[in-house]
This record gives sequence, structure tokens and C-alpha cells, in this order.
Amino acid sequence: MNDETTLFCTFEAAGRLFGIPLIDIKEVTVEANCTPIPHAPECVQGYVNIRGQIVLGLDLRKLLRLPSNDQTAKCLVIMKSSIGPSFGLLVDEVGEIEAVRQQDIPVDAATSNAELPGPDNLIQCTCKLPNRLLVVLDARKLLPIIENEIHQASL
Amino acid sequence: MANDSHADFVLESREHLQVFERSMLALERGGDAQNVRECIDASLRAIHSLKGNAGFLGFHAIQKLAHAIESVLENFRNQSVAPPVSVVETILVANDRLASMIDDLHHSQSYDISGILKSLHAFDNNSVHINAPEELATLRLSLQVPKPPASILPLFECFLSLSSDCEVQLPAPDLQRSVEDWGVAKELIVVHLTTDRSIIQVRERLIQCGMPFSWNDFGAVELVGRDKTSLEEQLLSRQGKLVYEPANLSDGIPTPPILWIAQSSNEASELEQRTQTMSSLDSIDEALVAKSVEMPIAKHEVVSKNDGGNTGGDSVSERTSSLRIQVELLDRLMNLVSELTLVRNQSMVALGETDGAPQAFVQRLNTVTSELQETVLRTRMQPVGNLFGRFPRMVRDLARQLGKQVELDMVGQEVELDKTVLEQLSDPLTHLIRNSIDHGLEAPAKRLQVGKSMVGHVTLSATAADGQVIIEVRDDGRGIDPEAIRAKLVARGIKNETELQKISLKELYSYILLPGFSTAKELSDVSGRGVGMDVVKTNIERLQGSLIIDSIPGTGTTMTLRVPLTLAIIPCLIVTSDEHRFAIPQRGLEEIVCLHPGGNRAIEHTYDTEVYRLRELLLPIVRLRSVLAFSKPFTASTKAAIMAAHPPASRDSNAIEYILVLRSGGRKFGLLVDDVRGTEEIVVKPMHPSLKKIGIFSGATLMGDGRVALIANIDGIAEHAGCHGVEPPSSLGASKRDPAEVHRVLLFEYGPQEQFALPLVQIRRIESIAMDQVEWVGDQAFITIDGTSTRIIQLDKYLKVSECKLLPTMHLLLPKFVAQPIGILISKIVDTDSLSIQLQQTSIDDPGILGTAVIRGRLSLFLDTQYLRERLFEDQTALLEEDSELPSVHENRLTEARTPRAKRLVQHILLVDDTSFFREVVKRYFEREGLQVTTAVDGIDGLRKLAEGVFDLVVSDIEMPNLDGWRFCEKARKLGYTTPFLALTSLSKHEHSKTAIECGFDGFEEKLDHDRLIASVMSMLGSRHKEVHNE
Repeated sequence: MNDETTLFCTFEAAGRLFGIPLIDIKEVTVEANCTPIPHAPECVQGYVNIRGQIVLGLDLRKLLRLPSNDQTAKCLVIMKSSIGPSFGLLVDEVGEIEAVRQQDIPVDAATSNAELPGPDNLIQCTCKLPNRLLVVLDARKLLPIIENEIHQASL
Repeated sequence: MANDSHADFVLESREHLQVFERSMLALERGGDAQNVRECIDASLRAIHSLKGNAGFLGFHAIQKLAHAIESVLENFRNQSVAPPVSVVETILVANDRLASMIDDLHHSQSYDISGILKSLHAFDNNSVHINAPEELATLRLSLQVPKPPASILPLFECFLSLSSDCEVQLPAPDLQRSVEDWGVAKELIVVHLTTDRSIIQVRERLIQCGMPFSWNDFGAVELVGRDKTSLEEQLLSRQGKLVYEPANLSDGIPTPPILWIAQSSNEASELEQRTQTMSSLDSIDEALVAKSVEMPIAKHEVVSKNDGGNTGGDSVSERTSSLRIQVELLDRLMNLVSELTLVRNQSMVALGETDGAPQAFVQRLNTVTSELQETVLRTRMQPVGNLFGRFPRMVRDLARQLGKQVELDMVGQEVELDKTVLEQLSDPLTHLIRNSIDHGLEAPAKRLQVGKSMVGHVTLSATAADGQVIIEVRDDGRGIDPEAIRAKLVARGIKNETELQKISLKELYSYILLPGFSTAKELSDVSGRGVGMDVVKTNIERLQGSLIIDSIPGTGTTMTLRVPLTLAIIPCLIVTSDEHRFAIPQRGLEEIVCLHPGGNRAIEHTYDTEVYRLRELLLPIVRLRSVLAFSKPFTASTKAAIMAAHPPASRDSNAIEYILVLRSGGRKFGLLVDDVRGTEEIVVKPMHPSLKKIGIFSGATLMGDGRVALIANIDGIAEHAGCHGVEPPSSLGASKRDPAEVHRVLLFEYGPQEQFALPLVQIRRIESIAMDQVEWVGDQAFITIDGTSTRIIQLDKYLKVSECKLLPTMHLLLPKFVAQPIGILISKIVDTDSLSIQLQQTSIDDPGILGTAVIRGRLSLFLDTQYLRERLFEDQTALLEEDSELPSVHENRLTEARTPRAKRLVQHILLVDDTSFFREVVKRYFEREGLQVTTAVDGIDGLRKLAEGVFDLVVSDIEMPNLDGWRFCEKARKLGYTTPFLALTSLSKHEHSKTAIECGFDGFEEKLDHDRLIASVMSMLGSRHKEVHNE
């Protein structure tokens, strides 16, 4: 039996639980004083100042086309620079760090993400935790979505 | 790790090569023996350190080449003689090769250096060599001592005290073991001897040190190679004791106490029999070379190879006071500092409400933070010397290649510039200097012919002023021929003949920068300016800088670059649209128009564009709000929708709006914003890479409250809005209508009826005064300004103008160029405006009024400040009497027709100026002195008038269309006129006084400085008068 686990940083958006491997996360902050960027795709919430560094904030709900209530996202999950240049995800709530056993992480993503819409390949897989489901995101796919949308818009 | 040390090696080696190149160039210039020796020492240190590092890291090709260079130089050091040019040339070529090998480090081994090595060795035939077939010049000796260690130390010391001719390598401790294993010796010393002379020295030294050996003790001295015979002969003739026994080696490992081996690897066939032995010895040597600590004896510097540290005089001291830091780290530091500034701001707000002790705290926090920010900003700055440093070599090579003699002077190398700006300046400057040498400077023969020194001078200077750095490239060459440019402009249909006549020289030169213009071969052949100036211009503009060309044909060309100190911080205007803040770089901002609700001007509609009447211009308007709202580039329907939403003359809100008049690619448009918050120096951060395609922004910045604001890209906005802008009425445009220059004029009121005007050049400043501070002496009013009692002029007392109702506060206009302190009382400042002053003939007959012009639909009176001053300070009755005698200025423009008061005494002046305003002002100056004045509008007119009448003095403006002052004077002199010429100009005196003399002017004065001008004119007329009488 393989007892190796992967740590996930979990967060909520529109009542669903999402996760990104902890190893890809730089920091989580509650500060979300966003400056909107006109002409940017809708899912770009804007620029956030994190200790003198300007971070691009993406709205997870809009990215995944999840129902959007009026309440604005208030937590920012910032990715490591190995994932992409200073950007983060704006989410509703940051949850616990979950350790998921390797055997509980499905390899075949195609069957597990059928219930969630959203841009292709953004969802890596869905892990079955004891009490709820954890949708694992591929952080590396986030920025390409933005770039693609800008490209489409310019056509 | 390996890559780290390689990167360090590359950086260090580049520095070494820089030092080396500099020393070589200094060496080439020569100097006394001391100087030469110092230069050679410096270059040797640099190349030696480089060689050592390369050897340590295993870049043998680099090591080999460096070694060869070193050998050549060492010869010259020994003789303290500067190497001949051919040697320097070869060494410089080798230096370049080294540089490219270091840049391409990992392929350095595969570089073919045999050719360059060969040419280096050609200069190096005094020495024996070993190791590589190329190294024909070095003698390397291995010294083997079986025991006792005690005897090694004095031996080593004795080598250390030897002259610089040899280099000793001690075996590293860990190597001793392998040596033992090999079973040859307990200790081993490798001595590199660079000249045969040193072998004698070594031996003599050994004997001096009381070492118990003689040449006989060496057992075997193997001397092979092309210098074998000569060396042997020398040794034998001096000592007569040399034993030469090649057989010893072939017999295996020799056993004498000390073994000197001189090897050569350009093995002759006679050595083949001992190949085995030799290669064994070789491997030891190599191991020693690679692992041992090197001791460059001459300087007693220890090269610690393990930490990649370096030696070499200059750089050692530099290294101790400087540190290499990654730019990334500095950027992070900068971010943190700006964040600290933010915290400071917040705490100041928070603590500002309470009082007492924390205040002092916050004050200190404030000071420290500001200082910290300044210091961090400075870390990015580098002296321009870093950039200039490469030019001496380039100039030298280019001069040689073109067969010219060029001296490069560099001034202001300590001026500091942002690293990124400095890097981007490299190409344009290189280009400009190349141009100066290639096209600007004449060939030596030609220079002699025109009476210049054979050596051409190029001066590269840097000065810092007003947050900018001004870099000048000046040559004393042939200059640019304006006629050639004119011809070219006509040929290419850019301008026609009549237009050309109205273009000033400076403007003419700016056409060189047109894309494709300079590349035209015909032009560069004739005019002497080269290829690709447009590229230079583009590069400079990208740096937000400017390039101005000035040239005096036959005398030289000056190209002036202005670049900002840094690109990281730019002054911006902060504006808002729907409560969001945006930063507009001030570089593109011309002016701001405020639209008041109920104001008399509003935005109007043309067929498909919203426009605003900005003076005579129909300025197309772009609404920032619309630009932000529509993410797709504007189409006709977008524009129509926007216009429909904003019907003309029905301003929906009562809010004030602002139009920013912006410049985009030489064209103007107006950007409508909600509010202007003020200006700020902002730290530019680039847009997120994923958002680079959004054209309307060029970056982002952090504001004082910690929020992010976006920096607008003016060009991007214009493009997005499909707004082409309108071409501003440039000086060129204005000159199409009239040839006068454009001046800024202050419009003001005194009484309620008239509008007065005065050019800004005639105004010192304007003060706001309280009328209760005014002191009265009779009906004369005085006020103290700058500690001086200043006489106040109430215009209605001297001119026939309406009376002014005195208010508690008034303005006082202090004019320039008046000897006594006077101030003109003003009730209201209307505005300033740029226009070409064309004085109208007027029926207003008042000597205090120069003339009138209609400005903004209102008749404006131009004041004669000199007249007012004289009225104030001279005896009033006397003046009035004379006044009636003085002919009215407005009676007749052609003053020749006037009758002089006393025929013989009145002297006649020809005044040449293209600006009617100045013509009028200066003419009045002269007439008030009782001189007769004839005017001409440009150089051609001037020549015509010269031919028609007899003049005692010619006073001429410099910058004029058709024929400028320089050429006017030159032509007049050629035609044989000996009349004294006085140059009258707004140009700076120092720059042009020399040119003035060369063109034949006798004097040089500033235009509106009345007293100086009159004094100068009078003295010139006086001397002239005498001459006339003497005849």
C-alpha cells in the first residue's frame, strides 16, 4: 500500500472546494484591494499591491463560470513564480491544508471533471475526500486562459 | 556551482580585458619610461589574472592565448620600452579574440588561435619555449629536489626575489603524495623562465643565496628547440660549466639532487626516442600548472584560485569597495522601500491625529525612509564612464581604418545614469561618434588645407541638468552643408523652394533624422552625414530623450542628446475617470484645458469627430471614459454612439471637465478626463506579461495610498480611439504664413478698456503686491521688492490709456533689460499665448506703444518698456521737448525718407531682423539715440539695402530665413564691405561668439539688453567716426 500523501492548499468558491498543490503556492493573503484593468478579460479582477509587488488577481468564479453572488472574493492565493509571473487567484474563502493520499488522486482526469464546466484542462482531477470532493486545479493553465481570451478578443 | 564560477569568470575576465585594453591604448600614446612601465605592469597584471583563472577552470585555449600575450609584453617590460605600433595592433587583435572567446566560453576550446599565436610569437623571439608548439618563447624548467625540505625554502625565497623574468610554481601539498607515488622526488618546483637571461640570473642567485649547487650539480640540462644553441652558448660562455647529457633522460628517471628540464614540445625527431619519459614529465608539469598556487613574483600577489578571486592592482582596490549585486535583488529592495514609504504614509496619517511624542518618531521614520528610497534608487545608477570607456578603442580603430588622425576627449565621465538608460545609449552614441569621425572630420591633408590642425578633435561630454543628462558629441570637422539638405529636400519633394527659404537652419538639420533621408547616398556624400540617423533618433526617443543637431559649415557639428536620468521614475499627471486613477506621462502632455460648466467654449461636433477649438486649432477629442469602456478599437459606429451620447453644447453635468492636450507622434489630440489630481513622480512597473497586448496602458504604479494605478499609453489610446490627431501649427507651419519666429507673449490689462502685451523674453517676473504697501512721494509710487525700492509705473500717467481702479492687491510686472528698477502696475493677467508677433500699422500715436496686434480677437498694445523707463527717470520736461522733435515712428516705415536732424552728424544703421517685433524694438532703441535706421527683413534684403545706401554700422540678427546672419555677414565681407557688423541674437553668447568673429562680425550682443546694446553700438560708431575723420 502506498502511503505517500500530497499536500493541497484548499479554498472555496461558490460553495465548492478547490485545491492547488501546496508546493505551487507562495502565499495566501486576505488583502484584496483590487484596481480593475479596463480591456482585460472579465475574469481578470485587477492588480493588487502585495508589499510593494504588483500581483495580477484572477477571479476563480469567473474563470470557471461558476454562479457569481454579489459578495466579492476576499482572499488571494498567490502562486509561486515557477508557475507564472506574479499572479494569484481571488477566492471566497481559504480552507485547510489537506493531505491526500496518492491512491486517492485519480489519474484519469477525463471522467472526474465532467460535472464542472470551465476552460479545458484547467481542472486536473477531483479527489474524493472523506466528507467532500476536492477539485484540483492546474495552476499552470491559468495564465494561458487569459492570454487566449485577449487574443480571441483582438481578432 | 560550475556555472556560477564560470559566470563569475566571464564577468571578471571582461573587467580584466577592459583594464588591459585601456592600458594598451595608453601605452600606444606613449609617455616617459615610468609611464610606459606602469602601463605595461597594469596590462600584465590584468592578463596574468585572466590567464590564471582560465587555467584553473580548464579553458586552456584562453590560457594559452593570454600566456602568449603576456610573453610578448614581458619582453617590453624588461626593457621598459613601449612596444611599437605593430605589436600593440597585434595584441589588440589578440585581446579582441580573447574577448570573443570569453563571451562564447564553452566553445572557446574550438577557436582557432594558431594564426594569432603565430603573429604574437613573431614578436617574441628572445625566448625559449615549451609545452605547446606555439609557445616558442618560454623556457620552463622543472626543479626536482629529493630532500631535505629545509633546503627548499631558501631556494623558493631566492626565486621569489628574482626579477620578474620567472614564475615559480610550488607543488600543492596534496600533490606531493602523487609525486611520491610516482617515485620521482619528494619536492618539486616548476620554474617558468621567460628569457634566457634569467637562467643566468637564477643560477647567480642560487649561488648568492649560498645554495650548494653549481651548474654541474644539475645533472642534466635538457635544452631543445630553436633557441637551444643560443642558450647553450650563453650559458657556456658565461659559466663554462654546463653539462649537456640527453642520454640521462632516455635512461629513465634521473637521480641527481636537482634536475632542470627545459622542454620544448615542438619536438624534433631526436626527441622521439624519449617520448615516454617526456610525456610523464609533462603530465607532472601539467598537474602542477593546474593545481598549484601561482605566485606572480613581480607583484607578490597571491591568486587564490579556489574562490575565483582575482588580483591585479586596480581591480583589487575596486573590488574591496564594490560588490556585485543582482539587479533582481535591487528591484526587490526597491519594492520593499516603496512599501515602507507606504507604511510611513499610513502611520503619519494615523499618528497625525494624536499629538505629542509619536510625532518625533514619525518625523524620523519619514527622514529615514526618504533617504533609504533615494539611496536605493542610486544603486541603479552607473557613471557614464562605464559606457564612454569603450569609445577610445573604437575611435582609434576607426581613425586608423579611415587614415585620419583623431583625438577623443571625454568630459564628465562621473555623471551617473540609470543602468538601463546607459545600456540603451550605447548604440546611438556609437553611431554618432562613428558619424563624426567618418563624415564629420576631414582627411588630414584636407584639414591642413583649410587651416585646421591635422588632428581632428571629437569631444564626448556628459553633464547633468534638471533631471536629465545631456550628452554632446562635438567634432571640429567640415560640418553639414545646408545647401545639400535643401537640394535633397526639394529633390525628394518634401519641401519646395519657397518653403525652404523659410526654414531655420536648426530645423533644416533635423531633416537628417527623417527615416530613409540620411540613408540616401547622394546626401551623405555631399553633406557628410551618414547612414541610419533615423535609427539613432528612434533609439533616443524610446529612451524619452531628444536629439538636436547643430552645425556650422566648415567649423564643426554638435549633436546634443538629452536623456532622462532614469526610466524607472517618470513624472506623471494623475487623472481620474469614474473615480479610477490613471497616470499620464508628462512627456506627451502639452497643456491642460479646463472646461467650466457654463464656460464660453465647449466640445463641438464635426462630421464624425468631437472637437474643441484650441486657439486656431480644431483639436479632436477622445473621451478617456469611452476608451476604457470599449475594449475593441473604435469603429465608425462606436464613434457615432459616443457622439450620440454626448450631443454638442448640452453638457449633461455641472461638473468641471479637463482636456489634456497630448502629443502622439508629432500630432495633437485632446483627452477628456473627469478630474486632474496633480502631478507625481511615479515608479514604473511593467504590465503583467499576460496583459501586454492591452495597448492603452504601458505599465502600472503604486500610489501613495498603496493602491495600484495604471499608466496610460498615449500612443495606444490614440490608436485605440482611431484618432489621428491634428498637426500642430509648428514653427514650420507658422512660417508658411509669415516668416516671424513664434514668441510667447503675456497678455494683461491695466485699465478696463485696453489689453496690453509684452513678450515673455522682456519680463523678469511678476509680483503680487498689496497696494497698502506702496509708498508715495508726490504722485510717484514706490514699493520695495527684493530690498530695492522699485518705481511703479501707472500706465495711464504716461500713455493715453484708460485709468485703472486700484484694488487692494495688484500685480507688478518687472521688465528685463532695464537699468533702473521699475515695475508696471497690472490689474489683471489675461493669459499667455504663443504667436508670431506681427505688429500692425496703427493709428495709435503714442511713443510708449510699439505697435498693436490682434490677439484672441482683441486689439493688444505692445509696450515700449525702454520708453517708459526713460520717461520715468529723465527730466520730464526735457524729454517732452525732445519728444516733439522726434519723428513719429509710425509716420513712415522707410526711415531713409526721414530727414536727419543734423546731416553730417547723424549716423546711419542698417538693422536686419526677420521678426517685425524685434525690428521695431531695436529700431526705436537706436532712433532714441538719434541714429538713422534702415531696416531689412533678412540677409538677402540686407545685401540689397547695403548696395543701395551708405551705412556706418550693420546690426544683424542671426537666425533668419533665406539668408541667415552668419552667411549674410560672410557674403557682405566677400563683396568687400568693410562696414562694422554687430551680431544681435538671442543665442547664447559663449557658444557663438567665436563663430561670429569667423564670419566677419565685429561684435556680438544680446537682442533686448538695451543698455549693453547701445553702449556697444556707440563705441563701434565712435571708432568708426574717428576712422572716417582720419581719412
